[in-house]
Amino acid sequence: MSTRRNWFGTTDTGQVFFNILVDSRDGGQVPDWTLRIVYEDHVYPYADPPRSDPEYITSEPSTVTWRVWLASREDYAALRAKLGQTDTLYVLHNLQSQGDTVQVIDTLYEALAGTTLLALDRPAFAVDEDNGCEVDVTFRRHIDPATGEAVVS
Amino acid sequence: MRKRTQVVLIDGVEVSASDIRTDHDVDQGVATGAVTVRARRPSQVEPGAPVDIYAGYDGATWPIFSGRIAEYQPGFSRSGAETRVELEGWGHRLYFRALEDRGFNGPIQLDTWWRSLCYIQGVKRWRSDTPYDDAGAIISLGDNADYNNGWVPIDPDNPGRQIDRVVRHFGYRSFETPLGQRLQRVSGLPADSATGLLTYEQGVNVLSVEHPVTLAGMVNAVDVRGAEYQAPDTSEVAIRSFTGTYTPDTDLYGATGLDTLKVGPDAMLGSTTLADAARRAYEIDRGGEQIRYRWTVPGDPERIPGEKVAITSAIVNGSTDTSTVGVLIAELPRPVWLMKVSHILPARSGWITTLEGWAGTGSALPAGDDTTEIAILGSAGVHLGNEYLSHYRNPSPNGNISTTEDHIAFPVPDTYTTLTIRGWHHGSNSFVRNQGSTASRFEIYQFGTRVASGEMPRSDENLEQRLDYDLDSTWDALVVPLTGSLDPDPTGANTYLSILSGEDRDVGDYDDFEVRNLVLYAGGVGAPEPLG
Repeated sequence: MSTRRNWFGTTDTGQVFFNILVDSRDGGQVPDWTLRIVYEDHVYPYADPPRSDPEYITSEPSTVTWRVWLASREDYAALRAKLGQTDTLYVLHNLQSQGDTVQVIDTLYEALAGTTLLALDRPAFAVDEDNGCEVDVTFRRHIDPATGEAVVS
Repeated sequence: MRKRTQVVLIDGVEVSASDIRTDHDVDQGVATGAVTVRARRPSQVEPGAPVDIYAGYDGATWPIFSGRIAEYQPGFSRSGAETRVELEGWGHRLYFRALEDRGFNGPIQLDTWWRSLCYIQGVKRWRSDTPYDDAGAIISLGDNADYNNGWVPIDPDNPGRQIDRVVRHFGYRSFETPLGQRLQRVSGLPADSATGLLTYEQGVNVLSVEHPVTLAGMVNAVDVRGAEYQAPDTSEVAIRSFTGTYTPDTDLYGATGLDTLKVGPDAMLGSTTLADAARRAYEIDRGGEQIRYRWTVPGDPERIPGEKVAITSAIVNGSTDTSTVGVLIAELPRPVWLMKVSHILPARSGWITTLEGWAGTGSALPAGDDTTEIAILGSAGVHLGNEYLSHYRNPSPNGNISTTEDHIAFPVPDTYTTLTIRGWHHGSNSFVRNQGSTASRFEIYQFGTRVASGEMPRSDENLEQRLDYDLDSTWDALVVPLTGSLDPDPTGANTYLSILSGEDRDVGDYDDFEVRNLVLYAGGVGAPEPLG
């Protein structure tokens, strides 16, 4: 496991550090953000040849779920306290597709402003002295697909 | 894939709103609508606050509602907190109480009477046609000096209801459109054929069609009762007009073979001429089977009630008769009046416009449209704002007063009370309207005084795309109804249109936009009549 870690939050709001776990069964790949639009197909009945008129309504907020490793139960509690909060997520460079690249000391990250912690699922705690925790974390973020910029609500 | 654009302005401030509904109905003097905003509500959401809704596609918008907040209702549930805001159009002002003992000296044309009531009751914008009866004579109220000296009183309890009742006698309707209040003939056939009409066709541009066919409302005789009074020679007079000859039909109407529509007594029908005109209008519209259609289309902001359109659908018009005649009947486009235009713009599904059409019987009657077109600006156009934009037709802002204001003089042949500017634009009001901002707009000045004004709808800037505005095809169509009226100024020496760029005071910037090919559509000839 890499010692370089990702984190959610800033020094002002409180940072919670974690590692993203990669399952070898996924071929070493990390899931990326969903991108989906809402649209309606206005279909004209009895048209020959068939006709339809799709209407773009909006783009959905993106979500991503990662299995992560938290170093302690205290870190889990800190992350749990951030459920529903919107903050900045820092993820190691090139691990996912969104955000602005920033350098922290000698390491590149993507900073994803406007990210909401949506869910913590399947938490599993280590029982040895390691005291760590694995959990599925789901983040939500709404971007404008045309610009990649976060949507300000 | 087309992308919906919707703009909701409440008290001039843009509000994030969803689930928009608007209804304009020829049989309703007042438009209604509703929008949903967040709870807690934006502070400008208050009963009576003015509301303007624009909608369209790909950044170009069209007015679909103008009115005020009638009521609002905040609430919350597990699915969130929201405020449902109910709206009513400016036509509601016709239904306010009026002062007692007011009226007009007759004879007064039906349209002048209607326009005068709009003016007195404070309706913002209106448009009327010259009202003809089926014989081609202009309809005037108070045309009988023997009855009340031709006095035409205003019903102080509800002038709007009085209008609805009286104009219907002659096949007219008083109703609201997104461009203002309208007095128009909606009677008989709108056109003798579908040639030249916007046509809705099964399998081409309609999503669903229903065609109710009913005997309800059909009669074979009409009995109109008007005023009853004592003539100067002291004889008692009762105005009445009754269908002279009718065809009995015992299958339809029972043993007598007769079903009579009884109208009145209505003291506003003060002469035999008016009672006869009313009877003939009812005979035209109620003497046959009612033709009705209801259909849906993908959102269409340009449709307004009272328009003449045609609809054809072999499925709803046809039968199992597959003869040549049967097929012809099935596929014949039917001209109808657009009776109702309803928009539903849900937050998470497609924009649907529901249209309802109706037609009476007989031949199409004259429209009486008195609209005059006055050309104001040509194809070169004008750019207003404060930025140099190389992809514009006029890269530098070039208003002749300042970069943000342009004045164009034009002649006014007559008095007009109905004003609409049509033309083309791009980039107008392409910023989010906030508390301190002003909108890009048109204002008309006469003799140094502002006499009419109207705000422009939104047309996206599309700055990243840098569209080539030398091409006409990149511009959006523009329609701006103006509030106000014009006096005659045949030389145009004292009349000018001011085109003004809006200011976004949050960022201290001006709206950059271009307009071209502006034409003023002026109608409603003649000033409102003074009260008697």
